[in-house]
This record gives sequence, C-alpha cells and structure tokens, in this order.
Amino acid sequence: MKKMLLILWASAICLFVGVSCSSSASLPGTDEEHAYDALQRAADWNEIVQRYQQSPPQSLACRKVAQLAMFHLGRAGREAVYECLSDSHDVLTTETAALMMSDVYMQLGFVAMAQRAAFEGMVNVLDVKRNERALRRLTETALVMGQYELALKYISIVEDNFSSSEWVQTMRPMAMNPELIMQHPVFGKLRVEYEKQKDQFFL
Amino acid sequence: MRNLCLVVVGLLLLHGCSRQPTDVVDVDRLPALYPDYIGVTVPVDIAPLNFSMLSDSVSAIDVEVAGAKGTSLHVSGDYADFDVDEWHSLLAASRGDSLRVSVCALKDGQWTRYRDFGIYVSLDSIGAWGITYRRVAPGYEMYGPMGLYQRCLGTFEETALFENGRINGECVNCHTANATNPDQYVFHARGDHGATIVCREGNFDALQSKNDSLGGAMVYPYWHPGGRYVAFSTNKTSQMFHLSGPKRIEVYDSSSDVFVFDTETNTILKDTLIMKKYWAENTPVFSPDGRWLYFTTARRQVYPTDYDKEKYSLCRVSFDAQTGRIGQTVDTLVNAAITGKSVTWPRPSYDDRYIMYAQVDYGYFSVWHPEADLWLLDLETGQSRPLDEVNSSRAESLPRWSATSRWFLFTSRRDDGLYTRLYFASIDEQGRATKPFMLPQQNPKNYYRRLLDSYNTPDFTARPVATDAGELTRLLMSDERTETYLTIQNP
Repeated sequence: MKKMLLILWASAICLFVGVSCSSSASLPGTDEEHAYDALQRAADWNEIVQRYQQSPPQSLACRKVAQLAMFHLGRAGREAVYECLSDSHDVLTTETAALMMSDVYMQLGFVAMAQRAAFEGMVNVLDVKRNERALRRLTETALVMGQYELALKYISIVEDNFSSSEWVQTMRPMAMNPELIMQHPVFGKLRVEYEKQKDQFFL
Repeated sequence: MRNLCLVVVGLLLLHGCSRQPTDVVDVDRLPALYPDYIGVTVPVDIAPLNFSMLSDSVSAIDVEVAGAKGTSLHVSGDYADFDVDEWHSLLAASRGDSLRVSVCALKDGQWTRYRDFGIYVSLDSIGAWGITYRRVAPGYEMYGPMGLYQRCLGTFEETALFENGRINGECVNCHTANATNPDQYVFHARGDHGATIVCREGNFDALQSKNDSLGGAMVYPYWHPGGRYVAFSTNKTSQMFHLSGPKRIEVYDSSSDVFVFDTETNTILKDTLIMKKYWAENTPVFSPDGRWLYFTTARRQVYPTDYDKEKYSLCRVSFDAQTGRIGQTVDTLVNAAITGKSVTWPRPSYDDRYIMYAQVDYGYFSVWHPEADLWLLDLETGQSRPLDEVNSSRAESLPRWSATSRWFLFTSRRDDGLYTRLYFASIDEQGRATKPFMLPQQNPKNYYRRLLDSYNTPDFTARPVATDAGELTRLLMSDERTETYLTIQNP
C-alpha cells in the first residue's frame, strides 16, 4: 500500500483541478454530499472531521471523505485509507458522491478508480455544461492512463463549453506530446505509480 | 471617395479571406482525412461522405469530386460539406464506377494539393432505408439519458424511437427487428417499469420483465424468420474493473441460458439441451430459413477468479417451427477448445452463406475487449477466417447484415479507443470485404468529437420504424403486463 504515500503530495491535485470548476451544487446529490464535497475540494479537513464527529453523515461517500480527512490530520492510520477504498461500488450513489469519490481515489493515486467514478458522475447529466468537473477528471485520468485520443476529445469539449483556457493550455500539450506528462508535478508521479501498479480488480 | 475606400478595403479583405487555392504546392501523398474515406466502397444510396482534414491546423479545404459521365461536385470551406441532392445525383451517375476526389488544404497560409484518391460506388444498393441503434454513454453502473434511434442512411436525419426520459430515466436496450422488418421488433425496458416490449404489426405487448421460473430477465433477442418465435438468452451479468493495464472492465455472466419464446401463446419454451447446468449458453440466432438455432456456449467457470478461462464455442441445434421444439443433437461449428478463443455475437447472412461473429480471447462482452475482431464462417466450407479487411487494433463487435447480404455494419472503437462508432462495408461473391467507412454525418469531425455516446445494438431497417412513443410510454408506465407461461422439454 505504497500508494498511501502519494497522499502527501497528490492532495495537491484537488487544488490543481478542482477549485476553478463549477461546484457540485447543480449536480444530483444530497445537501450533505454537496457540503462535504465543497469542504474536501477546499481541503478543509478540520471542518470535515468536526462535522463528522458532531453528526456522522448518512452518505457513505461523506463517511469516506471523513476517513480521508482524519488520515490527513494524522488522526487515523492506514485503516482509514483502506476504508476509503472499500465499497467502491456501493459508494457511488449520486453524481456528487461519484465525483467526490473520484477526488478521493485520485488523491490516493488510484487513477482507474478515479476514472470509473468520474464516468459514473458524468453519465446521468445530460447538460454538458454541468459536466466540466467530470470532463476535466476524465481528461486527467486519460492522460495518466495513456488514452491520449480520449484526452483530446474531452479537452475539445471543455474548450468549447467552458472558460478554461489556462487548463486547456496545460492539458492539450500533454495530450499531443505525452512525454510532457512525466514532467508534470502531479500527473508524472501518478503515471509512474499507475505503471507500477499490479493489476487487480475492484467492483 | 469614402465609398471608393470602402470598396478597396472590402476587396482587400475579400482577397485576404479567399479560400480559393492560390500558389498551390503539390505533394505526392494522400491527405489525412477525418473520417478516413480514402478508397472506401459505398452504396449508391448513402448520405454525402462529408469530411475534414484530420489536422486541426488546417483552416480551409477545397475539394473536387469527379464522377462518371462528366459529373462533378466542388465544395470549399472549413470542411467538405456536399449538398445531399447533388451528391445523390453524382453517385447515381457513377454507379459501378469510381469517384475521383481532389483535395487542397490551407495550413499556415499555404495551400497544398494532395494526391487524388478514389471512392468506389458499388453496383449493390444497401437495401435498407436506414439503421436503428441505441445511443448511450459508456457508463457502468449509473446511466443517464439514452434512447433508441433511427437514422436515414441517405441523409443525416436521426429521429428518436423511444427515449428513456419518458420512463423516469430507466434503461432501454436491445431493440431488435425481425430481419430488418420495422413492423416486428422487441426491446427491453428495465427498472421499476420494466418490461419486454414485443411489437407485431403495430400491436404492442409488454411482457413481464422477469419470470421467476426463468430465473431472470429476457436479454439478447433474435427473431425466427416466420415471425412467431423469438429466441432469447437470460443472463446473470456481473462486472469488475481493472486497476491497471489495457482493459478497463470485465463483464461476465455467472450464468446464462437460451430459450425460445412463442409470441402467439406467450410461452417460454425451455429445453434442457440449451440450458445445461454447467454451461453458459448465450447469444442465440436463427438461421434465415428458420431450421437452425445457433448459439454460443462455454463451460461455466469459477467467477471472478477464472473469468478469462470462459471460452464460447459456436453451436447449432435444429428447430421445428411447427412444434416450437428444438432437435436432440447439438453441432459445434467453431470449437473453442480447438481455437483457444471465444465466439460471440454470431449473425447469419440472410442468404444463408455465412455467419459473421466477433472473436475474443475469452468471455463474450466484446466491446470491452481491444482484441475483438470480426470473423467470417463460410457455411459451405465450414472454414472461418478473420475479416482483416475491416478489423483494427481496437474492438470490433456486433456485426449486422443488410437484407441483401451484400453489406454489413459493425461497431468499432477504432476512433478513440472508447466510444463505439458505426462502420459499413460490402462483401463480394467470394466473401471479400471492402474497406469500411464510418457512418456519415453532416460535420463528422465536429459531431463525433463532441459525442459522448456510444452506438449500441445497431441494425439495418428496411423502412422507417413507426413507433407510437406515447402509447409505449403509457403502456410501460402502467401495470399492464402480459403474463408469460412456461414449458420445459427434456426435463
């Protein structure tokens, strides 16, 4: 479970990809999920733990985020990360839960799980203009996993629908020149970890 | 004077924006197009093969298409956008002959003329008004907007047959007509309002979505040519995801069987010969004369650990439409124990000459298998061969024959590795296929790049499907369900 070490730096990915996207408030999900999602995207681990301890959330995804927060704060050990990775099927109850879990998996370095969750988060929303976050995550996971044509497709859709020129200018060169991925501070490391990862199954 | 200045400025602007090739540089290579229509064979009744240059750096193209008898088309702009009527006139004049396509492209202010290429206009019509398919985002567990659609092959017009927004977003799938006849079809709706819809000459029946005695739902359908029977599989399907490597997901059945449904008596005709306990029968299809029921079967494995040991053979058993009974002997046409591979989605040509199928390393859910290729079994010789003329390094799947058996379509993920697109090819008397062409769109590069749906369960349709979506909605949202009965042969 070396992947856990990734958390020390990969949490930066939330700041890299997340904050400039629209919030999940317009996506299907519970109020609780929207609140926890906003907090995890802001990396406000203290507030998450405080809320969790005051009143444990109903949503399984929110409870996973709380585990991650406790790990971040050093208030839980490896078992918290294992807890985050379990129930990968049952946790995807709503689009917001799916995108929130995609963030969690990405932070932990499990790119295929992050991609799967992002897919689930996208398919139920007809309006592409509400899908920027999922499209960005799908782009990022496609880059890490070597799916460059897909990455270019998603980049084009983001470019057409959102004001994301800075993000596009970062992503498109990597999709067109994959050797640049290794030079990226987050995606390069995720790529190294992904390629070292032994194939296993998750549900 | 002011007006003169405006005219001069206007002329200068016009010149600067001119898309007529000037100072053209000739190169001895073919243009890289999207879609790749170079050297394809098309039916005379196909929609215009509009295309773009593959490179986004190209700002304009100028295209001349010369047909037979002095006919030609000339277009210029962001992409080649042919007028539908002029295109059809050109193809009609060039039937059995080749079109010669000349392409000039403007990039970084420089026009380049590429080597001309040909498009062959077949003598064989495609023999169908259009196609039907499901468009669905390639999700896994959750699903959103999806629908069953039809598309005229002579134009770009797509219309919805039934969209799942009508039934609270539940899944709709497996629309299957009887040999391209739009008056007879089945499809499934899942979820709270689930049913298997059977349409015969405009009359709908909504069958119970699940039958307890069947042990599951009706899944992959195929009509008997007589129109009374439909063969189905019933499958308990699971999926699991790869953490790394080239495959994303494994879809497998922990069990499956094949049976025949009698639409006149609403009876499920089970026979233990095709519902063996330790075997997974699947993907049934009838021969065009209705005398044979083809299906695939694999010895069941321990799931999920031995999922990649599940290899399906292609088999057949006789079928008597008078009695609705299958025969006593199962023949094996393609033996997985010999090939070491797995057969899925067999489709007999309507002239009873071939069976086309997808071959994968294991399992049957070929759309998630990059190694999936189309194969052609010659029923006269019993020999199978890979259809190298149409296969790619990515998943080919779901072959379907036109009613004339001279054309077929299939799905492929060759475009970007994930989103399945539709391709068409013709096949000659010797069983040789032509280079496939992608389903034409008005602006294909723009359309396919932005399309987040896959094409699923496509087929030809002889005429437009006249579905009453309102009545279907009412029926599905109601509690009206036709009870099904069960008989078991060789219990």
